[in-house]
Amino acid sequence: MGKCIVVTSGKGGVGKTTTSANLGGGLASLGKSVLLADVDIGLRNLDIILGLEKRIVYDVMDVMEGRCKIQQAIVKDKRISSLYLLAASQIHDKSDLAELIDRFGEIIKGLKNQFDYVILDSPAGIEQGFMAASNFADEAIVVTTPEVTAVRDADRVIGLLEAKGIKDHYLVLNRYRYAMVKSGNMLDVEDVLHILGIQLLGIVPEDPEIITFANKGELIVTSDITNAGKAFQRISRRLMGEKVDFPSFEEEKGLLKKIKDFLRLG
Amino acid sequence: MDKNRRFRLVGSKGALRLVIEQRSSLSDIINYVKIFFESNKRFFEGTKVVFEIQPLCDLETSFIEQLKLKLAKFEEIESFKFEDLDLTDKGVKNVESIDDKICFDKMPTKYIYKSLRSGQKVDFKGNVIILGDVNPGSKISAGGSVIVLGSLKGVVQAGILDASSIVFALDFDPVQLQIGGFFELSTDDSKDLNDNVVAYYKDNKINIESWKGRKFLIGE
Ligand SMILES: Nc1ncnc2c1ncn2[C@@H]1O[C@H](COP(=O)(O)OP(=O)(O)O)[C@@H](O)[C@H]1O
Ligand SMILES: [Mg+2]
Repeated sequence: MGKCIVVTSGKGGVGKTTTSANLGGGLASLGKSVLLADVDIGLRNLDIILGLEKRIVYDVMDVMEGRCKIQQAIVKDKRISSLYLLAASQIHDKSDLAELIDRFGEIIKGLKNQFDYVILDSPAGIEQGFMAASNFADEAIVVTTPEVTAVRDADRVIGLLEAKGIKDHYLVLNRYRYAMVKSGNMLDVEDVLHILGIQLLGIVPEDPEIITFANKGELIVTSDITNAGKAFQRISRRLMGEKVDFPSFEEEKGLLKKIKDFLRLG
Repeated sequence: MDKNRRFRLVGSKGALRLVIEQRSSLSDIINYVKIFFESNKRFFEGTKVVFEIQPLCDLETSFIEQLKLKLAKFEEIESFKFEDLDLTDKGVKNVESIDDKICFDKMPTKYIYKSLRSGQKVDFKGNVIILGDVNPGSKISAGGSVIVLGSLKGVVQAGILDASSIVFALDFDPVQLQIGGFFELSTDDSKDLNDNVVAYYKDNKINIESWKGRKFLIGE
């Protein structure tokens, strides 16, 4: 029996889809079978990040409304052999999902028998559809950026998850900028953890490569030379229960210094 | 609530006391009470309070009677108390110091074994003890004292029914604080006072002090 993990946030645009895709890719690269399900109906983009949009014939709504079998709607990733996608519908609006919630639960249950991990890329926590997604999840990953408003909204969502009885929740701190934290212009990890008080799964630095990879339809987690790619690799291993050290602030500073020295020399 | 107002509502030993310091119009007073009940709707839901009227200026009996008639329309008010109030105390007994006995027994106490997160609210007609944090965006409304065994970064309204209540936090940084109808907005100059802080009402203002070295006697 696999695990269903919902990836959510308080605010939109903080990196849920990026995290879902790269965590899925990371776990699959480590040998797990992973199904990524896009539950952000109407705002589908998991297929684009994976470069699979041309292969989508059926989506989750077609399955729920009985137009196809679940196996017909699952698309295999081009590069990672044990990674699969169940796309969201673009046409239906989100309210439809609420009506079909029981059917959705059955689908998730079936998928958990088939895959090691079922990852739900969910809408932001105050939106409809979040409830549907989190109803059937065993664990939750809350994504936030180190901004006061995003953290406040993340806190609210954690409260909602706790009220639903989801006790296993982890934090991914995205778009972290070490230089800005150092200059005191950004909340640091400690500040964020002090408020949210949940387990930190990982910190993903701000990295322009994320956008480059997304545009190519490739997952940055497969790249060993990007900072964000390495961060997602660590996050995947931690989710599997491995103890992976957090690279310290000092190291990152060291890296920055090296780059600066390099530029000065060159 | 500013200090110069002519009348105010103060929590007093489980009752609500309307202290009228200077003569004011009936409609002003009624309007003030109305806003008070409206902004504390959840707190008063399903309960009624004893309402005391305490004039600190000369008011005719007819004025008081008219006031009572109008106030009687509020469903939150159970009964009035007027004649046998101790007029020597100015509405609230000053807590001379925190070493004074603070009587928790006057009201029931609710324990909360988790942190309050953004958007969550607690309304309780007694004392509230939180074994966790009170995060930004959350709010506590308590009839009595509020003790936070964690970080206090939300909004606290304590002593709604007893202005001699206290607010204590291990890490004290509320967005907004109110005790018994008196406001204290969080200010940056209280920033250096963070650990083990107690707040209480005295001399028409909220005092915020370090807890260090204090004795805290509960009950008898
Ligand atoms: N660590 C990062 N560094 C740079 N850009 C990022 C990072 N994380 C996300 N982004 C960009 O931010 C945008 C929103 O991310 P997305 O994952 O779609 O958020 P959500 O699913 O929460 O709406 C995308 O354009 C994405 O490429
Ligand atoms: Mg998204």
